[in-house]
Amino acid sequence: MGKLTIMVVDDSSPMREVIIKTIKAAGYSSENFIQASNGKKALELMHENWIDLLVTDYNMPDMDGLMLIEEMKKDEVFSSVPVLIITTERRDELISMFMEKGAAGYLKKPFKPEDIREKIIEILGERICNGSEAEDFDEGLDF
Amino acid sequence: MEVKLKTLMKDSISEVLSGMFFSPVEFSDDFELEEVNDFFKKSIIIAKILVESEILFEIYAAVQTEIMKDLTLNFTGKSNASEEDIQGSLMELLNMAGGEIVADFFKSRNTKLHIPEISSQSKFLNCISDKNTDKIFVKCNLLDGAIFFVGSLKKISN
Repeated sequence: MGKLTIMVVDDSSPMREVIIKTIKAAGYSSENFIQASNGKKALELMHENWIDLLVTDYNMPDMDGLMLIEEMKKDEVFSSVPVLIITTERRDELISMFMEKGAAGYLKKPFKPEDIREKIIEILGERICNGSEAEDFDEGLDF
Repeated sequence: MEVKLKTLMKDSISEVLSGMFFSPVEFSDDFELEEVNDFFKKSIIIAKILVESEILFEIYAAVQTEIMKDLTLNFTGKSNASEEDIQGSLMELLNMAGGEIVADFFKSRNTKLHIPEISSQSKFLNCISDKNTDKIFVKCNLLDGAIFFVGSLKKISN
């Protein structure tokens, strides 16, 4: 299969870098990455790019991660894109709401590279990690 | 309440700094205002985050820009850091630590963790000197410097 396109949505530019770095360290170094600083910008970019996986923060200005999922679910094409929420929020009722609204997975910040890898495998399946584009995962890697 | 929050502040800051910024951490229980005044003679950066619940809990973090730059390089893995990167990293540090505190302390469904923001020296000093709030002081010692955290607690009057 071809390269994946992964969109990373977070209002913090360094955190977007960290998430991308971590995903790359988890064995996905040659994928395409697109960045957006909030839900609104993510939706705009989704009209221009096919996305295989969307990784988003929850707490963002203009449009938060939950509103982004709600908007995506209204669209025939975007509704099929799996969403992984990475957030500092850990309250059960909020996590339940993420999943009820259609998130494919949830991960708390701070996180480890292996946590992201496990979640991506859980969401996209083992085939992604066995593809030609996936690289060996270095367990000892500090990002 | 202050004792529990102080412990949570230390635990969450320690987890974030060691886990995401790869920095060893040691805490001093208190710091003198004089120490803060000396600190302000250097170039510093200040950020804050607000937790809104049955109480208002505002956390300020003040750190030398050079120290925060080093932490930012650790955090992002990049070879250089812009001012925006440095500010964003400090805000993210507060965001992650704030998230841990909210999860472990603020049980109300209506608790809101606000988006962190960059603040100023005057607001930081006003926070320290505000007589209407209870304060929690945490000095976090790093290899080459320190980060000063101030938690300010205020009950919301109905």
